[in-house]
Amino acid sequence: MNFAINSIGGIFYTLFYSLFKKHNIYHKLDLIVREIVRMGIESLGVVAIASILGGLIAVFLIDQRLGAYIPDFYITEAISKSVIIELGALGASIALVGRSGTRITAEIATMKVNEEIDALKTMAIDPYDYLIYPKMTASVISYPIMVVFSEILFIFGAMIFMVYIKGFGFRTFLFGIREHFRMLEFIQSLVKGAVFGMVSTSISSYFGLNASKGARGVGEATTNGVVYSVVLIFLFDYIIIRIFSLWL
Amino acid sequence: MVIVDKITKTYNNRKVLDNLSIKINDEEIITIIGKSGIGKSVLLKTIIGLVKPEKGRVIIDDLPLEGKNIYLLRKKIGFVFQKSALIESLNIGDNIGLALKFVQNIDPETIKGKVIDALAKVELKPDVMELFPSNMSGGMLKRAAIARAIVLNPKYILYDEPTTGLDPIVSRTIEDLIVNLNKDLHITSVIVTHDLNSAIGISDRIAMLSDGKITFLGNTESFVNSKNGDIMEFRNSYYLKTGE
Repeated sequence: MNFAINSIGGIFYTLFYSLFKKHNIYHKLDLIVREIVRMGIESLGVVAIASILGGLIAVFLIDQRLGAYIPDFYITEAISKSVIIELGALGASIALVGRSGTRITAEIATMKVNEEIDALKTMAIDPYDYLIYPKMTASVISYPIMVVFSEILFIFGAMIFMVYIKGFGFRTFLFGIREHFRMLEFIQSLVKGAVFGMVSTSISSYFGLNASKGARGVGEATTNGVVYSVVLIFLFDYIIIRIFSLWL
Repeated sequence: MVIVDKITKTYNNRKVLDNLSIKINDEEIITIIGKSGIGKSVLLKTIIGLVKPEKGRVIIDDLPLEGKNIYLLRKKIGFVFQKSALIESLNIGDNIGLALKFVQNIDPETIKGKVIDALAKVELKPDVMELFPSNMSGGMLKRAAIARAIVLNPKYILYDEPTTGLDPIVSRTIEDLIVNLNKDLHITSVIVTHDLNSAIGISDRIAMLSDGKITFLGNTESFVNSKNGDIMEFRNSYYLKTGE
């Protein structure tokens, strides 16, 4: 229990210290761009596969359980709403935690074990400034982009099932998606992406910075990073949904 | 001048440093020796503020190593880690130029020039700038780590076991390098080692750390002739092990 309370305190310290400390962004542009590429480009494959399969599974289940009771047109609405409101942001973020969050924790933890973090401190370089701030900034940019990418592919997966397996008209499918699209729901998914990115990156960084010595310490830090990221992503998901429900 | 004033540091209920005090004079080479795990590296890391003592304080050039002073004073101190601790994801040029870029905000061309200068001082050629730490030998890594430590023109350099894991020939060149940096750049050097020959060969003064305290502090001649129990035990064990 103490570990959990300390960890959550440390995670929020990492988050706010990295965000609100005065940074010289000019000197870190190359680091930020490198992180965006690593988070975004390197995660494209896993997010694409997870999203297409997610779309196929979701639409198959909706059709199987509700297909007999509702017209196909409403299946399109159900998939459109569920993807934009929830599945796109959540699916992409969980995939990114697995691909990018684990890399961040393992990378920083290994630096800690090899005394590279201490070496930065001895050179008067703040590790939060040099290591975490670029990752945090990159996550605020790449996570929402990946959420949009995931939403498009989720709907693409659903379309494959509806059009090629169910024989639903392509134009009708697109019309259904467009008809039920609401800008505020889409903005909500972008906000979720940015918040999940910040939360996940601060968690991954916190556990990396506090890894104990040795390979075991790196392994434990990585496990904790994933567990806490997933739990806190769900918590923040709920908070954001409640906030946006005031307008939606 | 560095003043370590009555510091105490405890790990697992063991006082690694126990009310320890020592003064380090400008431009001297002082070596701290002692058994493995006795707290030599802890003392060194306390001097640069990586380890925070429970009691006591460190004063560098009349400024206590606390709060915002830590950031200011670290610019005056270079630190050479036992395992070099170069950033694995950066090449040697970027490793050495890191502090110039992020602390001194210098333009890339000037950084390159200063990095080449630092490499020359440790007798490395400019072409190693493109190498990554994983592609370098132990001796080259140590030199690169020293280049990183001197690039900010520090007044003090702290060396943590600078010759450990190196063969005698490379060890000798590293020792010569430390002495030359001390003479040419007037750098105060604090060395932690259990290599007795190295300590006697290059130091102005030697301090013996035992049971959390400095049990001996004097010049090399008085160290060699000392009848202090800790020193005699250390000397006998060392020469028995090395067969000298």
